Amino acid sequence: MGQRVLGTRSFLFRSDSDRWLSILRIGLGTELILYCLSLWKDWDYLLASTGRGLISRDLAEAVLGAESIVIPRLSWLVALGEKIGFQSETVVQAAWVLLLLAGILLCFGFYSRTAAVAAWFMHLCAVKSGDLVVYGVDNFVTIGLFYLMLSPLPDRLSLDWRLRKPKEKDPELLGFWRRILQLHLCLIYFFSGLTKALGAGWWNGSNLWRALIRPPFNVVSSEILVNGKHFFPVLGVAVWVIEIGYPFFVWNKQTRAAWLMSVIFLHLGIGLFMGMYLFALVMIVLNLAAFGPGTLWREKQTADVDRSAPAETA
Amino acid sequence: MHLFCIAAICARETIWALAQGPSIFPPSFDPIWKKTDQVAAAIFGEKLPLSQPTRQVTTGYEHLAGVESGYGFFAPNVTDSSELLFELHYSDGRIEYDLPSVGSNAAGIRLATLLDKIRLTEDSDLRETMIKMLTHANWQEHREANLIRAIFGQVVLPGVDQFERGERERFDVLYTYDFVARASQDRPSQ
Repeated sequence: MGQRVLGTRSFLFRSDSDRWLSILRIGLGTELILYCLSLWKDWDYLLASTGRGLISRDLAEAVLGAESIVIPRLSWLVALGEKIGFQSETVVQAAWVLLLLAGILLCFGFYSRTAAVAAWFMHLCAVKSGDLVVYGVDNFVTIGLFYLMLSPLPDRLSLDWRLRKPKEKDPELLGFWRRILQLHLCLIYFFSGLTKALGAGWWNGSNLWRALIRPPFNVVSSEILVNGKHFFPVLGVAVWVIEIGYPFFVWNKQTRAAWLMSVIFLHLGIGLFMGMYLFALVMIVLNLAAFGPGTLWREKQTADVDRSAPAETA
Repeated sequence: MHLFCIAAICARETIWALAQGPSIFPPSFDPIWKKTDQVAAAIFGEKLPLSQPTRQVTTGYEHLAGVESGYGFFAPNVTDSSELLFELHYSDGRIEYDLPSVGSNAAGIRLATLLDKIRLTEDSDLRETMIKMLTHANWQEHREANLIRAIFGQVVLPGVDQFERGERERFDVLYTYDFVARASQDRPSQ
């Protein structure tokens, strides 16, 4: 029993460097900047209150409010802004500016912790108030920002580190948060693959074809895609095999790099062939942060501990 | 606890997906999945009132951590996509057609998500309210229209073989709503 507890502890709290945190910080900062820029024309339109935009954020917030009162939303900021004399539209626009600013600060690692908390909060306000127009990418950004904000910032590549020379971070705590991210990704891929494998269309290729021709993901013309119809069954099966296999093969030293690259190529494919660039980017960032250091490139050995690779499982 | 929560939510969604069908399992399994789904709903407290404090706290935490839903994207089946068409009627008898529009591809994906959510909404009042909001947004660009017919439907996708035989996407109408714009109102009313 004691051995098991010790084993679990050493698995969860394995000493690690902060390189993965640098990847997560810069990657999510870039994601937020692109998210803001991609929506700058439509931000007000998507997040307006009743009668002023595409769909009412009041409707999404009403549903959200019934589910739980603690979920952040734009109406909190609007109410606060109105108390000090700002109009609702001004506050919504300010939220965009603040989110963009948080993304830029994260990229540079300037006021990293404050920027991470602000980015998590502002992003959550936006996606929860715009709950009717959110999709998978928003969930993954929230997940990444949640871990980033709780992790021991700043990292060595940040401006904070160079300017303020903070204390060395606890390598076990760094390892712990990386491990949680790794385990979370394993759950994501396992269940994503499992749910796909339950559909006959992912065995005969028809679901892959449908996913690629389904508006608005029909980036490549159907006339071109149909030429590759013989590959759809193989590729369809490959998708869920890669996903289900992730938690099994990414821990093994011999297969880790190959599996990681397979998943990264899968997301590159989704980005290029389905136009889901932001989704592809956030998934690649999460994967690189979780398993990249020590797998796809070597890390410098630090004085106190070998922090080069993720832990092996038996 | 956090990871257990994620695994539980994912497992719950997988059961839900099986209950919705169809899946690789024979149709004779459907009652089993539906029963399992009901049991899972009870275990997860989905039948408790939304105001129940435990439910409020757990739901709140799930949203804060971004783990409130599973990861069954495009699974187990890729559904048809949804479409909303506006038929704009003018006082001079002219009829024009328009689609909901946004300014970028990124927002286009979000609009498509919204239309899918409307299609999957079981509450007819909520569905009508959302379509009315989209109609109002379109009416802002066509203020002279005195009646807007919102035609909501799904785009049925052809299979590979059907596509090779020359079949293309088909628009099937699911719901139609007429909204009348009155001069005294700032939005169309049904």
